[in-house]
Amino acid sequence: MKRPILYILIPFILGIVIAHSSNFQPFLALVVCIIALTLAAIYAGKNFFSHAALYLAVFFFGIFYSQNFGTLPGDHISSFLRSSPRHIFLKGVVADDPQASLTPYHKTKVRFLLNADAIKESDDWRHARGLVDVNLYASLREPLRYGRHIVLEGMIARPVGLKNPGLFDYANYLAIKDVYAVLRVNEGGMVEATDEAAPNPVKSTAYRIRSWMRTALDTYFKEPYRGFIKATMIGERADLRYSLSSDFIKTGTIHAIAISGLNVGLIAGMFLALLAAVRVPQKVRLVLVAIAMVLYIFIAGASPPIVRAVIIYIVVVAGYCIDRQSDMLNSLALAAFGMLLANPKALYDPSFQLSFISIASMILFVPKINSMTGIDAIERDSFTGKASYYIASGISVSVAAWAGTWPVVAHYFNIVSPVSLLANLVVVPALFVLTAGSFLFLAAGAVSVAAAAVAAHTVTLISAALFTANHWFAAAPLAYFRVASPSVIITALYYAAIALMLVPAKIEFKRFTFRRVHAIIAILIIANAIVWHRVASENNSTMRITFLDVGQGDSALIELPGGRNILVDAGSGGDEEQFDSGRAVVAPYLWNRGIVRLDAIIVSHFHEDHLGGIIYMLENFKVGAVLDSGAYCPKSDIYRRYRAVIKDRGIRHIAIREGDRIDFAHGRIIVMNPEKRKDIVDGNENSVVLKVVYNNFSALLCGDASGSALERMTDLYGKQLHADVIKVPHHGGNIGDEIIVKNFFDNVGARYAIISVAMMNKYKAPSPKTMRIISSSNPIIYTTKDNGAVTAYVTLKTYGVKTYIQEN
Amino acid sequence: MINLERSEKVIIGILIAALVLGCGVILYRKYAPIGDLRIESSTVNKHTPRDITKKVRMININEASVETLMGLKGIGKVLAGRIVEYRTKNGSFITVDDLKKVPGIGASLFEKIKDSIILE
Repeated sequence: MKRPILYILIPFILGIVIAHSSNFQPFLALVVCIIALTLAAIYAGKNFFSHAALYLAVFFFGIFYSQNFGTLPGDHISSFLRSSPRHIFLKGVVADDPQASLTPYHKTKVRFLLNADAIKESDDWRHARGLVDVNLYASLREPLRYGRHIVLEGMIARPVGLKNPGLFDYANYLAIKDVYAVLRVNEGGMVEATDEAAPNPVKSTAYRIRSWMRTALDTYFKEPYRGFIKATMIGERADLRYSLSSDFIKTGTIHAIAISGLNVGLIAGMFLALLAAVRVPQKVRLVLVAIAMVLYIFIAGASPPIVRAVIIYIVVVAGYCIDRQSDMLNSLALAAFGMLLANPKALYDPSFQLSFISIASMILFVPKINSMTGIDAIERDSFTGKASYYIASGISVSVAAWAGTWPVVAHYFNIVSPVSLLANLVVVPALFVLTAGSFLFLAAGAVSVAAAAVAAHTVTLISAALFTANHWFAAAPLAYFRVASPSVIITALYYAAIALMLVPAKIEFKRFTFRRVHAIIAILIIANAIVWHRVASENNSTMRITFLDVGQGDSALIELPGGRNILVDAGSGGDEEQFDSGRAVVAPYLWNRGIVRLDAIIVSHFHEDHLGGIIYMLENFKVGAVLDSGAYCPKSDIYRRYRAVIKDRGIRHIAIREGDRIDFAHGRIIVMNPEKRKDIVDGNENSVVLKVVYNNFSALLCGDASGSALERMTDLYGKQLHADVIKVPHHGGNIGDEIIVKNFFDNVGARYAIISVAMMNKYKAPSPKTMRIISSSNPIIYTTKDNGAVTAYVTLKTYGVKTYIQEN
Repeated sequence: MINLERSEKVIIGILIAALVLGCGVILYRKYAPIGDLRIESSTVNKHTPRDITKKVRMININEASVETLMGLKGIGKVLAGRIVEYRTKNGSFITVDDLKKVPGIGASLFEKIKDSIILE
């Protein structure tokens, strides 16, 4: 058999998928596995039955292994967690290389993983195992190092992830990496090192080298080059500016910054050449460089792409040393199998998926593309011949990698970058030059300061040229498109179609002939069915109002029947380098729903937790009009930038007050607050309050309206305030005098009350007093922190409210 | 891969053309410009709960029967009936201006009666 590991890997992967999506009994799976293995052994031989039994055994082993991995031991740290943070003391060993960074408030933060071994709340130390993600704001007497055994005091909690359908969930992402708890050590919290645990010497050395490299890079390079070189050389992304990486994301070249096989290949090649120059025998060279590569894994942060690349290198070298021709795809399968045995959940890590799919695509498709396009036929005797061959091959490598990965990229990042075919041709060679230059810089640093400075300057210039070129690529027309996540069927059809390229045109079986063209026709028919079904079902008389989970803030999307879309607030944000709800939640949610433009953005008031994310939305979507209260907003940086973007993009800017309304078929949106008065000042009381009416249904979106605003609306509108769904004002926090608030809610009389609030917020919202008042009329209360995104679906006849997370 | 019979080439050609056409329709719907959103303004009738004397003479267009509505100057049986019909079909009047939407009640008639009507 040519590729044994590959044929074992596939059923193993299927086993992991089944284990992940069902509750198959692990013990049962193990039993079936053993039975199948026995059968395979009994009927051993080159027959179909024996092989099938073997694959079945691997499949059930995959289920058993994955399920077993997922069950945490009884004393795992996650069992000590509750729904809100707890103050505890924690003992453990620093499990990776701590990274220091500066917060927006100019405090130093150190981030690392801790391998816990004991926890204490008030009384005694108890055994507790597991990885904890630590954010440390306390001052340290000496820097923390990998391998140190320390005692920490802080607040421990479950990782918080925003829960919106189809979007990135940070808590899930940490779980894939086996981290189920986060610890925050505040200023003044205790940090004490006890004796040094016996650290892994390989890791220790690697981290020391990394520290040296980091200091060298910090000394000689300036921003933004420093962040970029650190990310490519030692895998440290803390200093990487978002504005830079966003260009790389748009041009589909971000893989260059995540250390990939490129860097590994170049570094290995460099050291091999050096050793060859000093006449080290070949097999010794290969082994020495393999050891250096293992060290480099830790220097560069041990991300899946580099682990994968190094494993492949080692497997190929091992194969060569045993004098066998090792098949590339088989080595790749071995690397994947090894990584999945170490952590089956890695299968769901986007980085893992992209690395392996891109390399597999290159291995499978480059020979095919080369033969189809006649590149193979280029004669390589002359210099021009060689050059053309390598350039042409480079293009086919780029095409192959793109063809295999664009559906996965579209799924995770909602983007398709046709320009990447061109951009990679520039970025990849530039990166080779930059990596070589950076190593020269490090070597020069050992020689003289002047030499290092010269090398650093050269690398900086080349980087600057690269950034400019990349920026042009990103700004080119049709360079990239925002797309919705492709559905499973479309992805499957696509991969089936390109797989057909690899299959021979005709395969003869015993009774019938498979002709490739028939399969292509079948795929085209199914694709047509899907597309035309979508065309025919566009007509829609359902209105949807989605209250997104943006943490501490508000954002609601109103999708009107007839296709218009209105966004009300967009959560917090505004600083590129920090979390931005517009960028992280609202924009991806809209792209996933196929929405590329907004007929209106309504801003309830200009506080940062409502306005922050709007700037990203204004810059990345076509907006018909911006509606706000027109209130006077002094001294707010975010407000000034908001006005500037509106002016620059020439968007209609309209002030709305009570009595204004937007009509649509069978419904309207009515503004109920603020009043039509001259010169109002921005604040909670002057929040834009909207009533959305669709036939018999109505919803009230209250912004942060409180106190006198609620009283005024109750007096003026009385029972007209009635709504089926209310978005509770001010994130369920304090909204004023108890009687006024009670009157207001009594008049609204909503069946569903929705509170948009974060899991842990400094206001301790929702406030118990407000909750008591709301609950007195017994509505169904949903909060975004517990239920994730909440959607109201309204048809002409009825309505329903669904939450993303069902209450556990 | 290029060795296809004529019939197969035709079939594949038609299927690809249909696919491109379908995608074109979807993209057109996604990106084609639709008109600007229209925002209408109206006045909200202000009343204070304490002004009971005025309330006696005011007619609540959201709750009044046909007979009561006929008490408004210029509103006869037909128009009163239409007001009730509009209410049943479209729900309560949110603002007083909505009355203008009832067929037969024009701007001038509205001006005559607007000070006598309330919503609550």
